[in-house]
Amino acid sequence: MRRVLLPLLLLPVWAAAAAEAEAREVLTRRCLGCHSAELKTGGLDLSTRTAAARVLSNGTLIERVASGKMPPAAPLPPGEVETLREWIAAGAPWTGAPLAPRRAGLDWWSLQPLQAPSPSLGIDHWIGAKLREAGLSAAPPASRRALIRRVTLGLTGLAPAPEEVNAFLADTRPDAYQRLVDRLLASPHYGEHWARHWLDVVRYAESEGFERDWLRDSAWPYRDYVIRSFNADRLYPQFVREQIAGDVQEGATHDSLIATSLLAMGPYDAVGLTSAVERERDQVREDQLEEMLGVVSQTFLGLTVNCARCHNHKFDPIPQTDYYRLKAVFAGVWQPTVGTELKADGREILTADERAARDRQIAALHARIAALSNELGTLDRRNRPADRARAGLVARWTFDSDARDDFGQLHGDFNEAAEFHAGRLRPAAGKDSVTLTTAPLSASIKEKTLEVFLHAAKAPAKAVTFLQIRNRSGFRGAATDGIRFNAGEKKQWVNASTVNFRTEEVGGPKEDTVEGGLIHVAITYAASGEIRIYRNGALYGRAYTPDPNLPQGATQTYLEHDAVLSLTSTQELELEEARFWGRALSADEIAESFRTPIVNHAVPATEERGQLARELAETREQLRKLPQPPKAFSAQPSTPASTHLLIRGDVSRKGDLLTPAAPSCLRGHPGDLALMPDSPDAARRRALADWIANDANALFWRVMANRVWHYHFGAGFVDSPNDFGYNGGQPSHPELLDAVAAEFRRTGGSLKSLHRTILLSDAYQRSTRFDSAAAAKDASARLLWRFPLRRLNGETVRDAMLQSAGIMNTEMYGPSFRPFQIVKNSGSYHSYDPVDSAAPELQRRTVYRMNVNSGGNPMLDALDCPLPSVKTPKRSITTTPLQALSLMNNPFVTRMAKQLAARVIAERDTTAGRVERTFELVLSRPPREEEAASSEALVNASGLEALCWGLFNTSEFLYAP
Amino acid sequence: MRRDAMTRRRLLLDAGAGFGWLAVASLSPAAPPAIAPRAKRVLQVFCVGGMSHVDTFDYKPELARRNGTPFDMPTFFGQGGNLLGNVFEFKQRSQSGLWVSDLLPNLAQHADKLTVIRTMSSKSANHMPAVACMNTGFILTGFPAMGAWVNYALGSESENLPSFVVLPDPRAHPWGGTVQWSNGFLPAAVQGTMFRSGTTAVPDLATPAGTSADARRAALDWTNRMNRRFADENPGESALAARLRSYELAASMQLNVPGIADIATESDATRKLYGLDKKETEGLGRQCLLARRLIEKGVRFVQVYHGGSSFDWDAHGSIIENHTKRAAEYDQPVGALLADLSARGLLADTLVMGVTEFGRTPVSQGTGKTAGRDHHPDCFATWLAGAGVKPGFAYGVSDDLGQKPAENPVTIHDFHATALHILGLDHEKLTYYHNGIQRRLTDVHGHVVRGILA
Repeated sequence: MRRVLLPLLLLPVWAAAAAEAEAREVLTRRCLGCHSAELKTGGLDLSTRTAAARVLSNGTLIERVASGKMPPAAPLPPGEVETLREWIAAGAPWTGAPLAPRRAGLDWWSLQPLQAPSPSLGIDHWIGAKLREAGLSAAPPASRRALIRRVTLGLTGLAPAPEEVNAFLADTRPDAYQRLVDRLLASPHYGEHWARHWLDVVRYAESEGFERDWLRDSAWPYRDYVIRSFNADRLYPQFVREQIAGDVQEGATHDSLIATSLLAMGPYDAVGLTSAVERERDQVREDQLEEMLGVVSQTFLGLTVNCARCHNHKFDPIPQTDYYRLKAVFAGVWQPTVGTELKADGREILTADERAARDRQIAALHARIAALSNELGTLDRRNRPADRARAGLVARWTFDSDARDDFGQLHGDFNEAAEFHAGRLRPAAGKDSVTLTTAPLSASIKEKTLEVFLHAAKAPAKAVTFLQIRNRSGFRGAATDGIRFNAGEKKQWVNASTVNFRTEEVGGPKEDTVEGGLIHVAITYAASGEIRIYRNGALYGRAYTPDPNLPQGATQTYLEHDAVLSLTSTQELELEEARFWGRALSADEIAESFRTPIVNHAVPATEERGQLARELAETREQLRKLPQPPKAFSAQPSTPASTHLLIRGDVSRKGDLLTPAAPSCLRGHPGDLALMPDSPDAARRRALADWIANDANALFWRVMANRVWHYHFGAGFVDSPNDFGYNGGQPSHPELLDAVAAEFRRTGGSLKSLHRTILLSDAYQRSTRFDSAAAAKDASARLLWRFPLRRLNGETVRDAMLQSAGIMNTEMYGPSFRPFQIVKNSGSYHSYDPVDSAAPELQRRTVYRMNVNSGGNPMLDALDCPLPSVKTPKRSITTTPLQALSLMNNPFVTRMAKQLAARVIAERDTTAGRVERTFELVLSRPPREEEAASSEALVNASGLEALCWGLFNTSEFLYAP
Repeated sequence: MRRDAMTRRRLLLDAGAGFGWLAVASLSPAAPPAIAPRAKRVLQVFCVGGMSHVDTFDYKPELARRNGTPFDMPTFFGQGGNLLGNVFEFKQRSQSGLWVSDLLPNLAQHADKLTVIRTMSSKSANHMPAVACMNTGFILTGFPAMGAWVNYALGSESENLPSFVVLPDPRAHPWGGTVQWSNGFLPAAVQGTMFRSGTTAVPDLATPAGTSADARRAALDWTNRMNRRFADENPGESALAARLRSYELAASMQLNVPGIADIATESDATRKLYGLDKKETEGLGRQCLLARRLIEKGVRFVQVYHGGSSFDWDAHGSIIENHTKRAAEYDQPVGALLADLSARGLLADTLVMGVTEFGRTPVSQGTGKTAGRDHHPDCFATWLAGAGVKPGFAYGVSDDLGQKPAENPVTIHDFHATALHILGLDHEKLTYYHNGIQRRLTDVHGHVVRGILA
């Protein structure tokens, strides 16, 4: 040690201190993550001078970092190597304390049990103590006018009506304020406003995100569930249990089935999940689960467990195994849109009993329809001439009374949109087209002929594939062939094939069929690979042979038990008859087949037949009229795949098999859930739900108490409501946080009680009055010496405008309103363009707006409404020129100003009266004397609308007092 | 709370610094930039759909030699055929001898201005996540685009204009739409602002038709008086003063933006240069010309999209047909942009980037006239020009078939780190705390590609 001390003396003191500080920074940032006193990875501890002495003096440390061997896979930038080299050369001065990694250990404050102090020490005791400690004195109480505006906006997201303000001012009872709080908590608008807060946190999204961003039409029941839960003061543990495992709990209800939408609401990569590359699919699934894990751990625990997917958490005591154990809990959970079904549809919300009853009902009706159809078909076929046995014919559909295969066994399936009329398949009224799928082939087929007779009800314009064969397995039906009419300029017949590999334009004449005509089209696929299209018995254009180097070979093979055919009719072209052959017919045979008359089998109108047909129609009608069960975008349970640790998060590098468990870092609340690696999905999620919503889980109570505080005061005790780990820092009032959390727990998790406790405190009722001396010590009023002004969120701004204009539509619940029009672009992409109108649904509260990822609204976006799919525990508050432009010029603001002016003109006769009324409606106060004068001047010069517009643009309107 | 180098900026931004970034930057005597900035701004042209590297910038004679022979490799659609040599002829161009195919004759004339990176790779073979990866470094949504990061770090040189402007292809938005220029978790103020040409370039820019100028002025004056007094009564809230300022900036934008967005004032020669006189080049020509005007006015980051969810470079069907059509739209306007920027001296402090989301497979998808190429994220090419990069230079060598990088691979994180470096930003220090992580554009990866720096 003496050797290293010597050069130190040669350095000026300030330089040595600077060199040491820089080196400490590098060591702490780059090395202590592994080489701390606690971890000592590879036996090396760099936390103290003594422990580090050997590698510092023998040159190992500098050699390792300079060569890039350490830190592994993340070599130091050259500048930092130099910093260490110079510091070591200067004798590695080490005057400061031992180095500690910048991370939380198991002793981190938020992981300890709640320290519940005496409940008699209320909120103001703890706030007062901190203020005294800082030498601050509290601002006086807020005026009653400010208070009613503050608490009404805070609880309901709406401004108080002038009449409510006056009633409160006149209420001299000592408990007037308490009564006000109780009234507001009982208002249904309370649930609407607080639901919006919750929806931010759980990234409530009504579209899929990613490239399609399809709408989720059935996501809204979750929003309603949240509103109902807040209004009914559903106890927080139950609320949370339902959102994690409501579908698999004992005695599931509609609400508990809807609640798991929380798990499913994340973005959905429909294209990635159907990629042909398994690794890509696995990767997408891992991302999906990380997202799910993130929302659960951050929302309910304030832990960023998702940061431990590739390595142990950098800042919190969450090992990588905890990530995968928690992931295992959700390994059976999918979003409702799985597989190749690229439609953002929800799941039916039925309890087990309802499901069974409905299934029975449907099964009975289907059985009846099948029986009646069979009877009818049998009856109708009794008098027909038998089909001549023709070589190679596999199936023939005549559509005279059903979609049965008259020749073989490839019967079309049941479809409510299918009608059979005049011997043809026809889409039901209101449908553009109908497609029936047949039973699968009973033998594999290579060579084939597809053949249709089409009745042209109208001159065709739309592209349709009328008869198609496809394998069901493989990526996106890896093999298809079909008879297709090409729309647009082309109006020609082609073979429809996978990615058009086997499709060529053959140069046949354009289809300009007169209405009512019959068209015969056949395509033959020979073993040689040659494809020929025939129209009305003659070759159509030229024959061609696709390149034999195709992925599937020269001819497509359609597999036994896998391949099916689909039969399609449109409003323009209806299938009169379709035939399918297991060989390629010759030109002569096609001509012969074309000439084979279509038999519209004369159906004898017997009484027996009439009776059967009526019964069939009635039964179909019964089925059609069955009430559709409600749907929700809730979690889709399945058998969980086994969960392995993934080394560095790499889907192709599996480590140990893991048992599902909760995080292991909470003191006094071990994460073991008594599960097995193969426990069923229901057991996993139920166990985790009980573990999370648990009296012993301090984080569960602290995190929610902090959120509620955050929304009332604009900042929580912990300013990062989703992160109670090292990066979240220390709470501003640790004892108070625990006191509030413990009180919340004592009430069983009643949020309304929690609100009351907070709102009745002196701290909440203080004025916003500024004091420069106090501001010098605590500018942001984090210690609550005054109440902070808070910018209203975008939804509240919009709602308050609607409300003051007197046209707010207070209808609660139900499908979201769509303040946009869907613009169909070419391809499969569409966009959502904002619209504003006086339509009643567009005057609803903003919480009922459809939250579409790519469907922004300039005004709400500028007012910081978050992207739906981003978890937003705390909104950013920005002030920008775009925001000013929106408040100035957005059509909605213009319309509201007009409406407000019209309302006030109807309600008051004089300019002075109108000015006063407008102020009270927008700002909850009458104008001051000089304001009244300037306002009247403005109204006289530019009309009342100008004043309304002006008030909507005031800072006072945008900020809660 | 943790503090980082950006905290002050974040506070200012949250409090409403708006576009007036220069004033703010000069207020901030924070540590001098560790890296001397070479470029002040970025102009990016994004070819959506995936431009084929082996048919444009990465000449592979061996691939041509083995044309038609089988080669086994996994592809996105799982329908890989035989190897397919370059379908357009390559030549060495200008002084530098940079290889550029005949597909891009105009751009080829500017070969001596280009740095081509031939060893790029992406993390997804799927359009939307791959476009997101090029924009944000991540394949999931919810992350800030590079333009938003740059805006956050550097702000704007312009009082009147947003500092991150996006010009989508008028025919179709890119996959994912507005999410591709989102601020993610950064403050909303830094998100990309979509510009169209004409008076409605920015949403809510124009005073509504029924409002007279006098009435608007009177109401605005009245409102400003109200707001000034409210700010005076609440000196603890800096955002209230920022609101006053935001209305001034808004008024200034109302005055200036329509003029900037109106390209009618450009000379006939310029309009012709960008191809506004021809149907195929008119669309991208307008976007490129508007981009230059925005760059001139001090916009920090302009992103131009060529193609979107359709009209893109996604040549599954026929590489010849698709790329010929797209290049006919792309080549002249982009060449014109380089010529024009250069003539106006803007290339000296503007970094121009030609990017795409991935390349295309060396094997065909389909055969004959309809032979296409599938998505290929493992290796592709991008080009850079202007400030901070070596002119007439090719970086990285892909293997003989253009399937994988062979020497000097460049990830998208590296690419981002390098662009930030050229702007004077250390990608490891440009961070923002969000839900437990100090987030970076480059995640926990990325190295500056020093080999391409001038």
